[in-house]
Amino acid sequence: MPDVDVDEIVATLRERIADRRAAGDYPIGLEQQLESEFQGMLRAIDRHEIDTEKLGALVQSVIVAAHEMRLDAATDSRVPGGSTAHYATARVVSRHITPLAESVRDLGVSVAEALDEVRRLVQAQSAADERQLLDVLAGVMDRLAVIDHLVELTTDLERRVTQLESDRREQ
Amino acid sequence: MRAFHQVIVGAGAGDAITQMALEIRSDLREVGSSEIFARFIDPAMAREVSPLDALPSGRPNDVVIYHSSYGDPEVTRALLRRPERIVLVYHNVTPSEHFVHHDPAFAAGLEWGRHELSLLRGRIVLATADSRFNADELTDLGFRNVHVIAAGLRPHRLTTVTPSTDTVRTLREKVGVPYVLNVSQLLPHKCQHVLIQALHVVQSVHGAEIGLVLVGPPRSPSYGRGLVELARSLRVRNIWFAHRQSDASLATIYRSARVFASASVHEGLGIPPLEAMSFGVPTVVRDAGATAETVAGGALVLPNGAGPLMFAEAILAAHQDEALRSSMICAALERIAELTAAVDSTSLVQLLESAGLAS
Repeated sequence: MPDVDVDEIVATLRERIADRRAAGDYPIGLEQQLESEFQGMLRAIDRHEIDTEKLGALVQSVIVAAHEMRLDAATDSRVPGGSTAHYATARVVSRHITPLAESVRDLGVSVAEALDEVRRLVQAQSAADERQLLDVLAGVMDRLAVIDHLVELTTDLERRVTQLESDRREQ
Repeated sequence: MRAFHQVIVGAGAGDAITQMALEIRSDLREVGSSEIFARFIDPAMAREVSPLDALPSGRPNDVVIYHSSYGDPEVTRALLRRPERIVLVYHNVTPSEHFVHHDPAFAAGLEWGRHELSLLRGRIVLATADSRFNADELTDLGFRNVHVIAAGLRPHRLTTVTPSTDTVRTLREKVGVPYVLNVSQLLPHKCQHVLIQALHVVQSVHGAEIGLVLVGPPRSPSYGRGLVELARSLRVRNIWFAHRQSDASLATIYRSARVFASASVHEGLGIPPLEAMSFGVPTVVRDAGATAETVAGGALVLPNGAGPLMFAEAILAAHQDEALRSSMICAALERIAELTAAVDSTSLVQLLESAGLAS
């Protein structure tokens, strides 16, 4: 480029990127994050596959929600004697809902275990499909190699036949 | 009269190889009869290109010029059965790895395209490539005496096309600000996503009012959908997915572009950057395949590993730095003049004559 040193321009661009990283305009890992998000989008669009990572995250959130289930009620009150009333009510109510809460917590744990089982199943199936596909592909490639060989033989034969016919005509 | 027919796998309106074949046909008709035949024909090209099975029977001293860029077993079989001498014009077969995950069927065609070259090698009497990069690939595949000749290349062909007022209006409505342009089919290895990410940085970090126009059909529908989704999720403004455009419209879009950018990671020649340069549009490309060789100092060539940040900085510099802009414009126009002179001085017909195939 006349009057312009491309290497110098590229070096300047690199310096600007470094300066902007230092200034916090370009967060560290921004490019990797952009690329990883885009690849995630493509994966979802391409195959409509069940995302086992998402399923794993869902399992974790169910486990956390189940363990964080709380029974203690808020007893604060601005009304004189209100706290005592809330406390008494909470004790009465908790006597009735504790078994229910424990059942819900158990249900949460069971749901998480079931989801985790589904995730493992999907992963195992996906790995098996991939192995099977690779086997099929290897078979196809073997057959293609045979066809290639046949193409060469056929072409050679066609050429010889044409030559023979031409020789016969000349005779 | 001797026949010099050309064979291409697919003929499409606006397709670079089809355009080159049309240009070559004009030259070939000066020395013999010449038509173009293709296995797949875009209806818009039906008047210019005939189906492959209509290729008339030839004689051993006729010539078939085959443009290789993709493989189709029917084309291979047809060529192997022809008695004519075959001249190869190699435009590069994109490595299939870029398509295996998104479009396995297309990837298989590309694999066949490379394999086909080994099947045809013994029948080819003259091998040409439109870049040194492509010639080196042919040499690696066992071809000897490969001639580098960009036959049919006319980078400035759109500069004489009358602009379209409808397109000017559409640009104003859909973009409305200075814009970065990319012209290419929407394909994973063309990396239009890097340009969208770069525009996200340009708009959100730098607050620059620059838009993006992507011209080209979504050859890979899933990648095309991914690009639309990416632009939406990154909230990139003033972006227009223009798909396929007529020559008049494309000329208008080139003419109005502020910067042309290509992040493609594989190019056997790279015609759109040249077309942009012919309009005096500052051009930024990635150093991949034959790109650096093609633009040869007429564009800003970024390192092969350049990511969205490097493209964002390059686009900002080419947009804002007036001194740099004028240098880039001068360099672009000088390169186009140099390339045009080189293309004009050596035609495929001259090469055929010197090889004794057209005399």
